[in-house]
Amino acid sequence: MKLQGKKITILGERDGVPSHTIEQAIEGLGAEVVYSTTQCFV
Amino acid sequence: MENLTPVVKAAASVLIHTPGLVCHGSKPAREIASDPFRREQLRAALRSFDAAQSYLPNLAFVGSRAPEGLYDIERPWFDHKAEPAEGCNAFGSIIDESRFLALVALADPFKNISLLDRFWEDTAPRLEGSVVCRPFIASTPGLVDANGLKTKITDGHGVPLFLGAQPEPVGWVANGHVEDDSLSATVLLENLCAKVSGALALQEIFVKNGGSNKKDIDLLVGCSEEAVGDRYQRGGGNLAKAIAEFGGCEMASGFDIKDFCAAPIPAMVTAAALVQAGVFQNVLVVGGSSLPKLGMKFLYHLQKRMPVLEDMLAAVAVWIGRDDGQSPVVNLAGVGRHPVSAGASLDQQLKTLVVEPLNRLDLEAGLIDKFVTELHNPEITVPANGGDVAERNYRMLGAVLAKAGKIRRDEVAGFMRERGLPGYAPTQGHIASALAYVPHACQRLTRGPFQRCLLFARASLFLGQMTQLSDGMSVLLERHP
Repeated sequence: MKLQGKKITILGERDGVPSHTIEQAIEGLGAEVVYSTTQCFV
Repeated sequence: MENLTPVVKAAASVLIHTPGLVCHGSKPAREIASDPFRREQLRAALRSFDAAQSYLPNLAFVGSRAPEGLYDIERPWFDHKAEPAEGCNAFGSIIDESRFLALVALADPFKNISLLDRFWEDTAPRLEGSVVCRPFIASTPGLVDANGLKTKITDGHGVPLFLGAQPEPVGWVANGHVEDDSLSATVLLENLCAKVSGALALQEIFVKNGGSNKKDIDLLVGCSEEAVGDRYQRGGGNLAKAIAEFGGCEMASGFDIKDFCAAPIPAMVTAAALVQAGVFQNVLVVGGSSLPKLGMKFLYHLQKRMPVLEDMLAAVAVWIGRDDGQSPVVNLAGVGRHPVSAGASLDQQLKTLVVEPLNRLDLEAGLIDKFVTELHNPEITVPANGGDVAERNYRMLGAVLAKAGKIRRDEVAGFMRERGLPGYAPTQGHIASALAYVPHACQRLTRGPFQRCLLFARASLFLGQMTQLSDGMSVLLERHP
């Protein structure tokens, strides 16, 4: 997936992958993270 | 030489049916403020006390049924009429809202709460008639007549107290300070609910264990979610000591342990360590209820035409003391922690909290009868798109244990039924996080067939926006040798 120039919204989940980890994973791929949050549903 | 091995001498749990308080939950309060019609929709979807008493997950919580029985009962469980949990359950009571509101007013030393005089006259005899509630009637609450209540509501500066779906209030909570948001009526109500529910769980311990003396308790360790404090110290804490006072443990001191939903496990570990170190002989770990979480997912429940199931406050108390030759042992050599370096993903958390302690103790997973984690009732979370929390945790734990060589790969699919539990606890955060099962664990590790239960809980620290990290802790309970 090409992320260069894309605006990214990240929804992480505490029982899965947290948003911070996703942010780190896409770092350097040229995408702009416009919103990032990790949800706790309980 | 004294035997200082820490054991769980007793554990108790209580549920309180509080439909009238649901409007003060964080989500309902915000929704009602933006659209007052929501209050009417909410009222129309509230459950009766009879329905709450016969709700299968509630019966599992207070020990009238084994949680595993839920595996074989098709949802919706709220349509399934079980025998009501009248009177005496194995671990504690299901308390109705009128008695609870009366106790909340009695537990308010600053008289910010005023109850309608007629409501108190009707309810006081019912408190007297309850072996669990009777010890708390040592004073008279703040009272107000109907005209006085109307005046308070007109003047504002507080929130009304409702009983179930009744439209007319039965009381008023005034703000504790004109400028201090930490002492607003809503915050005080949250704290008082945690105090009273915690004291009820404490009381259940002594009701269920006749002959035990409250004066023997040296310390209460609180693990409730409410912070308690004022504008200069919002998390000042020590709700534990307020619970000790209200609950009649006059020789006890107290302090609170904070770790989001994981707090009960570090609280139990701390209590056991204090006993093992010889500092104290008898320590009560008490987790009071979480009012803000009432009605957290009520919009989804309304949308799905379900009753609002998040109408239950819950509390648990665990008595940790010196070895008595029979009670389950808290094995402090088996404590697992989640270090900063471990990473925040679920599999990494489970490695540190479960696999690492098993490796340290050289235990195979098959020697653990139950892995106990977040036991949120899926009937509440699934309709809100939150999934089945227990199932998700066990699926990942099974995979992590298989990868670590602790179970075979062909055991992963059946792992939850074999070594886990279905969710049955109200979505009360810390209570659902393994603490809810401690009374069951004690029963099964003494009179039942169990040898070991591994309890673990996780904390979403990132919600407080001070770190991106999570936290967690685990502890092993073992049958007395």
